[in-house]
Amino acid sequence: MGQPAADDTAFERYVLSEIEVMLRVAHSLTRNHAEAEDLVQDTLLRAYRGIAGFDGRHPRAWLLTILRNTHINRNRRRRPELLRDPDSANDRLAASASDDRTDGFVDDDLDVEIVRALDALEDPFLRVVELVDIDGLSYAEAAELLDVPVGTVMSRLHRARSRIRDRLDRAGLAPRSHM
Amino acid sequence: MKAWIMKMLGRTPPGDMDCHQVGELLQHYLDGRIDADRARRIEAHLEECRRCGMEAETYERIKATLAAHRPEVPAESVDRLRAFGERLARGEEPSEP
Repeated sequence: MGQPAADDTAFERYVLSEIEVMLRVAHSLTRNHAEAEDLVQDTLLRAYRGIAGFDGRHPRAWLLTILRNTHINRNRRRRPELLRDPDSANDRLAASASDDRTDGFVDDDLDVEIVRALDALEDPFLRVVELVDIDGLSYAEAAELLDVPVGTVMSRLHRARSRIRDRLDRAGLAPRSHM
Repeated sequence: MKAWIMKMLGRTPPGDMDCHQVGELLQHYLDGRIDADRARRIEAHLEECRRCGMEAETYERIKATLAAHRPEVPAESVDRLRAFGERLARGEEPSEP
């Protein structure tokens, strides 16, 4: 056993409150519940060891950086073909599409077309949609996680949504764009 | 339609922004990443321009649909990780990383 962090209350305050967010993001990165849990556990350990040097500003961004680096380190030990399953993101959506819903705003046709549209997105675009629109990260948090500028997240996200929108247009589920 | 007629007449569309300007800023607006003044001008345009209003609604539906698919994280995973974190907070760091 090691020594406790300089400020254990800081660890509890900044880190433990973010476990659900980290787990959701980790699942987006790994596409696997067990791997996501392992990744978050490693991230917690690294965060604990680094909490004494953390200035308390933007804790989620700090944690997402640790999560990203931990994920990269773990992947160095893996075969490249296992890093991403192109179907799994949409499997995730398709699986949840059959769940009971309380939001009457969404409809089946829209769900189907959006899943198809996501399937057609290249990985960088799919990533930002997952992180921002599905997982609920801010632009800045997604940028931190992906290690790209905020402007890149923004442009990828907007282009991805435009493509989804165009797909809905072609399916007759959206008005023809005039912009 | 009203915006289109005004555009054809060479007049300033509702809210003093034209459809192209609104289109450039629409996603920023829907994400709440725009200053209050421009947000008000966009809102004024969307109120009056049916097609831009429908465009905005489409993007809102896309966002709402995606957000509705946010996966629930397994409660047992959260519990295990919280317990692990609490052990760390008590100084019970595992010897193996």
